[in-house]
Amino acid sequence: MSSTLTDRYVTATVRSLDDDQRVEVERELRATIEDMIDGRLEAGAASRPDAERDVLAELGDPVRLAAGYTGRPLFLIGPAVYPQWRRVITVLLSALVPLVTLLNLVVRLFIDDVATDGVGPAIVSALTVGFMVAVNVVFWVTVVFGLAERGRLGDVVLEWSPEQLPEDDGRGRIGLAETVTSVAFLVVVGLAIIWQQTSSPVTSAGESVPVLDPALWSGALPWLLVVLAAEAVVAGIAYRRGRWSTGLAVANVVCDLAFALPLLVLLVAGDLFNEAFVDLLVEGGWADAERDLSVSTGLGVVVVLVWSVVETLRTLRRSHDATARPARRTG
Amino acid sequence: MTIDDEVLAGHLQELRRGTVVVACLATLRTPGYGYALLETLARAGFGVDANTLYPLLRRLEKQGLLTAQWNTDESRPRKFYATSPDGLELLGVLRADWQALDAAISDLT
Repeated sequence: MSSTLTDRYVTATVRSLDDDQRVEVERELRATIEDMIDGRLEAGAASRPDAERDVLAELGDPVRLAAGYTGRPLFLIGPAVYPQWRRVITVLLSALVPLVTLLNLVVRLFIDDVATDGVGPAIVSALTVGFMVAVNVVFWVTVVFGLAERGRLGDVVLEWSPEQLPEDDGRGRIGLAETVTSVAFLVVVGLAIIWQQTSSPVTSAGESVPVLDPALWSGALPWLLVVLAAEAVVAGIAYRRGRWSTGLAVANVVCDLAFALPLLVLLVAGDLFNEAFVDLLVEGGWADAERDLSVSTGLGVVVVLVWSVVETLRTLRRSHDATARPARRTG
Repeated sequence: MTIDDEVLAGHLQELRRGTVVVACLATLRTPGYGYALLETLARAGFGVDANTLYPLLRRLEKQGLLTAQWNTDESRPRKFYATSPDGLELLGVLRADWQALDAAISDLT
């Protein structure tokens, strides 16, 4: 007997049903389809195959029909669980992907011979790894949440409570903690610059060997210290005012550039590090010390610059959003 | 009517959504099978899709509100549903609730 459209439809529907349901539903479904076909023929359908096809089209996707019988959800991640899923994905992606990409880039730059191959392969490799990490994160988080959706196992864990609210209160006000962190960071960098000259960790014959070229103290290093101080002042003014203005943000970015660009210029020219320091490293067994130091420092400077500019822009945008909102009446 | 057709259809559907169960329980006080019920409901103005009605009948049967029997008298065996005593009781409760709602809405409007 040749298989009819009805046979295929019924088989497809019944496939995902439990054994006890299967026989009954199949019988009832066949009877229904026959009845509906008869109805259409009476109403003037062209032929039986036509009527059959129309009836099955009306009944719709067998998966959907079966879901009506089993009560299983017709979605992977449902509304109950979706907000938490999205939060987890966002947090993990924004934390892991840049980190992994960067680490891979750094490692590749050390391993590859940048002189002959250029930085291309390293960058491609880093981007590929970053992409793979992103795909894996999304996949596994979705799997876990898909199971939680079906198993009810995450009910307590996944419930939202007011404690989970993000810190941003929409007013764009700068907190003390934020300012203190920024200023502390600047102070640390400034102290590091001074300290590496006066009592560097690296010693030779009892004398401390500065990391950076001492000749730089005649121009570049004082400039860097001044820029750091300026940036601390900008942070202080922003805190006093309570929010970032466009002018302050621009000042901040200018300071960042004024710090990073001279460093990068010196790095490229090979004038940043103290010759004695590099020689010591090479003697100590680190054959490619000069190249490795240049690459890692260069990368570090660029990363910090980019991150700082992004943070400034983000804080500025939050600040603008807050002022654009109509002020709440208090009291 | 200046209301968008789709918006209207959506709201009407929401209003009617709960009534199909009442309509089924009421109609099946006289035992009937799926397809006939489908036609009766359609004529009474409760247009339901076949792929919604059949799972619904099964659900009501599982909840003990309908009883089912296979009738093999005719050439085509059919599953006949009938409202159970529990179903009748629920029907009474739902109708009473319906009338209470109607009174409440009348008070409001």
